[in-house]
Amino acid sequence: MSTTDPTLAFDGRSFGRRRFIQIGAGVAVTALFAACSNKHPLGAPSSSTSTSTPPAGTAAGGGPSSVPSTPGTFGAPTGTGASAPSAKTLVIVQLNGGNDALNTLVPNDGKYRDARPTLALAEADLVALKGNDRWRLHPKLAPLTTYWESGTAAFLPGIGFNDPNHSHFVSLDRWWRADDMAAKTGWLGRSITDKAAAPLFATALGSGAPLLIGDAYQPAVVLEPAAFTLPAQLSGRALTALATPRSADPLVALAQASFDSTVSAVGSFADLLNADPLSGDTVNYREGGFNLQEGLALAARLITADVGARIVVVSAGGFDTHSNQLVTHAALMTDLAAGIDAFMKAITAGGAADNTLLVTTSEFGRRVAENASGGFDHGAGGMSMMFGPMVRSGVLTDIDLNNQLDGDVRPTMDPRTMYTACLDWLGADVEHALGKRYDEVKLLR
Amino acid sequence: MDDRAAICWLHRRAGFGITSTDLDAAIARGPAAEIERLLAAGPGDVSFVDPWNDADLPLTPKDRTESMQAINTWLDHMITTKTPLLDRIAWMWHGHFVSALDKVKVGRLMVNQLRLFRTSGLGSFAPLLRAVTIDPAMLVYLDGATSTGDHPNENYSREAMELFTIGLGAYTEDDVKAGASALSGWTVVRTDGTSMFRPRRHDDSAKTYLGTSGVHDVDSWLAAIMASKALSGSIAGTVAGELLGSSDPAVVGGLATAFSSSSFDITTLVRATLQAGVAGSSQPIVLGPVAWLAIAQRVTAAVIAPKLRLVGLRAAGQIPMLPPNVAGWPGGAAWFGSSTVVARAGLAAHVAAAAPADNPARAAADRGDLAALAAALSLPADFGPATTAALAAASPGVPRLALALCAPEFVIA
Repeated sequence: MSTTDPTLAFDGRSFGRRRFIQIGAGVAVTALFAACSNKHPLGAPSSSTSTSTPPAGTAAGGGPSSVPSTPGTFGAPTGTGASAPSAKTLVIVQLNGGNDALNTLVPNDGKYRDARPTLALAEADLVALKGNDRWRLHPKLAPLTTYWESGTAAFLPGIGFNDPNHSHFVSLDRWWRADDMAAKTGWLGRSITDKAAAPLFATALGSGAPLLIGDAYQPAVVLEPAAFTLPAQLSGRALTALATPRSADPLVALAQASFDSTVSAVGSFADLLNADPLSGDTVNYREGGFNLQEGLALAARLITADVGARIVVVSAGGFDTHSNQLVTHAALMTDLAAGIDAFMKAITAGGAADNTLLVTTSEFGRRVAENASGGFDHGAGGMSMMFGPMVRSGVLTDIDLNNQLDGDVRPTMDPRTMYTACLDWLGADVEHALGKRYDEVKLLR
Repeated sequence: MDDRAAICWLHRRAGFGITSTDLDAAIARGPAAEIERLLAAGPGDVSFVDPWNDADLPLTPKDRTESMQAINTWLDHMITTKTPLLDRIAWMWHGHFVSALDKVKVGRLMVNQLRLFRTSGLGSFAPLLRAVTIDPAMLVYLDGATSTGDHPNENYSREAMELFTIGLGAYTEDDVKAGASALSGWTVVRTDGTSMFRPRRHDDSAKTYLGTSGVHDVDSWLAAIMASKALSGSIAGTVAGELLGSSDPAVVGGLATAFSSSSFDITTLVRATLQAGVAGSSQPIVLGPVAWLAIAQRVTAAVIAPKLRLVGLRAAGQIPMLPPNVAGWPGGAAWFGSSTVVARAGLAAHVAAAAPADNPARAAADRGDLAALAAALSLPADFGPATTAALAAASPGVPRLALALCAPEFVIA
């Protein structure tokens, strides 16, 4: 369902797809809705999210909310930034480019070796998952067996939407919007109903995060943590002076709103920088975001530093391995394992481990069979991982290489099942975010 | 818009700003003549120079320092170029026909691709697309160089249709496979950085591609793309989005017709686009960090240290030659994300501090003459009420000039 809205310039349907994706790759669309709320009496989700099942009573502009607003629960007013490490925190790690699921969690299946004569991982190098003969891990993921053995790791092979499209951008879009292609908001952003949430309540690290686009709240984006501070010649007060009075022009108003939200976020971030200055004066070559060790180290600091961060999205690129797969993917898996392992140790030391759920996403898996470049082209079903004491540990889904989808892994679990688990755990309104519940597989304890 | 606003619009959208010294002469010429003057400055013209020196760019994949210098050379060139439209269009094609240094690794290959965009970016679309398809950096970035007829790599074939030419919905998965097969066999000669066709790596069998039978090589592949009904609208949409900020179907449709009826001449398309803009079809766009910084340095005459500039642009989310993925940089509202806002403030402070005291913008910031400041920054109109009040309250000199460079009036073109 869609409705007309003067902000249609920001609606994907009035642009080509690429244009929407480019706009969506930032996060500030949300501020447009906030900035324009005086002009748009229909600023509630029924107009501004265009979800297929607009919930009653959830308001972007401060009206009654269908989300429980008990202090300390998801979506509750936390405008002071108060948030103990005991508050629930969700970390989403985006592996941009389409991670090769079959060489990450490897099935014990002759079809796997048949399709990958040169790129199947050597039998002897694979890392066993104790008690499971069907699956083993990439050799570089050995550090993650700690979490398997402590019962805090789940693997979801075959995750992916039905009728997959091999486009990076269509696939990412479906993940971000939870497959509601009429929606103008991301699945997680539309769950944030509190305009006054802490400036770092939802923070994207490494790149903008369209899944955080919402109606009420503008997430922070940090690309260069050491530089996330204002220069001496330009105070926060000077910048925010540009923000009032608000212009009637929606794009100018959006720019103005960005000064307010940014200056607040910089203020909250300053504590982290002051406590332990970062060195960031190098220019990184890695496309599509941080390396994961850098990004997840910062995520751990945000969570344990008590600055109100409750949703952190860490983006890393480089997973589009059309060529030179063995070397590239081994480096990516090393980074992933080291990043997650260090993150888990840091939040454990910081007392936040019991209340932090980490999940990984990627827009698709890759082809079952290798190409001539020593790589894999775009595929379908992928594999997500979940870490934390609240997850039901195990390999919770399966795939069938005898029943492929035109050379791809046929998807066996809708990503919205994982979203439902995340939202349930946060205490957010699943129906509001996803239209309905997807709970065919039990993912949480 | 009046002539002054039109000239400022032209140079902020289709160039990298205009200094107050150049502005009066341009206004005297008038917008129509200025469009023609901008379009005429091209290869063969005395104003056309190649800013890079190959001696500084070894053909080795470890030339990281040299590559950073090549990026800085390009940024400096944008600020000083005498062929601003040509360079602005080259920048557009760099964000459209994407290759990225982090995968290509050899800075010279990236520079050679940029040279292609500078020399051919305003020519006919078909030869440009053919050259892009077998461009060495592209062959590395989208894996054509390792594709073979026996096991074609689909990467370039797919992205060329989805992002570079006809767009989603105009092709099938079978077309992706057939295109990959037809383009197989093009490789890169590492020793000299050129591309070479190797027939033994090529599948020359006739395929049906985009409804055309007999497609078997790069030229028959190109002919099928050029014959697609979706091409003109898709490319016109790209140019309109970039220069007009408009996706109005009537505007894009008119530009598409102009494009296809000129045998896909890019100069014709760009001319029609700029004329439409001057005539009132323009919508606001948010300047990306690179264009914003180039304009800021041009109008203030500020020179800032290369390393400071690259660190700032990285935090802002846009370093030339390092786009985040094959779709290029995000645009529009993404440039109001908090990291970009912070980085823009940092860069603005560096620029303002480096502006010479006799620069008209810096002098106006010292005096607090906000009308003169807006004019010196090549803005088409005075500052709005919020910015006027904020600038009036700011400290004179560097703080006021830095704040003006962050103001919506300067960031939104």
